[in-house]
Amino acid sequence: MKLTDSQIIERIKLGDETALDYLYKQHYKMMLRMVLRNNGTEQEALDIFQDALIVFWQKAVNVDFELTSKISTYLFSVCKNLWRKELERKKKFEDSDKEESEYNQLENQEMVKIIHACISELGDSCKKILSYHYFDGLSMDQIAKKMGLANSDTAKTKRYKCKKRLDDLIRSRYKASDFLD
Amino acid sequence: MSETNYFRLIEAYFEGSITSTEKAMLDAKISSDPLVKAEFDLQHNIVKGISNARKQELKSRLALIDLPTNTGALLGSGVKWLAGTVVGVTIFGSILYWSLTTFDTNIKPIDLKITQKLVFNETSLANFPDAVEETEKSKQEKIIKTTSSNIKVLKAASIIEEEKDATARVEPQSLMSYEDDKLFTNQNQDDLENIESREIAHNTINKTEVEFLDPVENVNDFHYRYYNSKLYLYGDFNEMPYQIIELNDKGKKQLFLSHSEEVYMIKDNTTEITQLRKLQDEMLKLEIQLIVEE
Repeated sequence: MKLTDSQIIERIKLGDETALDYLYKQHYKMMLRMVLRNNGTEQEALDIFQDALIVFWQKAVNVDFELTSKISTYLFSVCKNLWRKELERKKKFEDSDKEESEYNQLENQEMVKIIHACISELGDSCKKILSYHYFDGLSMDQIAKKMGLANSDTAKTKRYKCKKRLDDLIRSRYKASDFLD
Repeated sequence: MSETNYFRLIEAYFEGSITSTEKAMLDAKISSDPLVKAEFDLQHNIVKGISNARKQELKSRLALIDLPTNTGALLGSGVKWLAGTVVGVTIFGSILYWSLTTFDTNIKPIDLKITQKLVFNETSLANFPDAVEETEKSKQEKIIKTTSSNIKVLKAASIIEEEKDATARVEPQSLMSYEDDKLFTNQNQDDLENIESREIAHNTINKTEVEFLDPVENVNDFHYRYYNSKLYLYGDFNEMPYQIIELNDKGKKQLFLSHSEEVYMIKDNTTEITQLRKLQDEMLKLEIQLIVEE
């Protein structure tokens, strides 16, 4: 079934992830060619396109979002920018002191590891509500509808409890002061 | 403000509900209190962790989607109905501009009528011996098919002595071919080096003929006629580089004209003088521009 741009936006605003699947299938060839033509690999192309779709998702899900061009044009621009940044990052990495860079990454890795482990220990509904709130930027009303909760207050309370549970989990392993330099 | 309140400010910061005054206070505290800074960094990483987890979830979802193989993706065209090979007939306006200015002395507008007999300047033959030789070998009739009385014949090589009853045909200068290169050799060796450095100069696939005619009305308007693989362009194409892109697919072909950062569609079997229309399909336009950029 062919969807119009406005139908796609409508679906995204409802948090319907199948709209992303549709866009992915619809436009991947063009993005693939763009990256391949610019010294990229197929895997890099797909990665970049997935990232571009996620950027688009985050924008489009916002109630205030208004599309000023065709979705395909928007995605193409995002892809181009992301790929340009990726090329710059690659070049910078080649030029910079790799050892120093790796050391800094390792230092931060421990904290990130703990956080990720704690997130994965959360229940599915907690993970969802925190993701919808912090990543997707959905309003409490949207979250309530998407998750089948009674109302936005219920969603708000649940979000608060889930965040507190995550904080407690992380704090039970490390205190903020442990991360002091 | 107590430390607890600063923690609340941190929370408000990541909720997006912090005021500008509160943010200024928090910034000041972060730069002076390592513990508050550590808490801020922790919360920042938590939010980032949640975002990353969600991002991964979405990416994994997309990665599971079954897509055709790379080869198919590359061979297939993004242009929906053009799945085949792009046989590019690309012409750079700069080449045209160069050729127009270089051969300015040789190019003379001629008035032709269908019944008019053509008599060409014999001295031109002496200037272009190879061109004549090549032409004689091929024994092609050089016929200009036109009913217009005001055509600029752009190709200097077509200046040969020949009499034909009704018409004479010229290969358009703008569609560069290997044979064209030979002709240019005799006229300006230095400029030929420039041409040879361009891959485009060796594109011999094209069979479409192009003729350039004076603008129909306004100088800024572009018109065309296109039928029997013959394209007539009306307008001033000298100022800006342009390209003609021919996309072929299973015996079907579609011409596009890229000029002044716009892409125009050229419809086949257009016998009437028609204004060039800008391509509305932005995706297709991007495709064409990608080809042009290459």
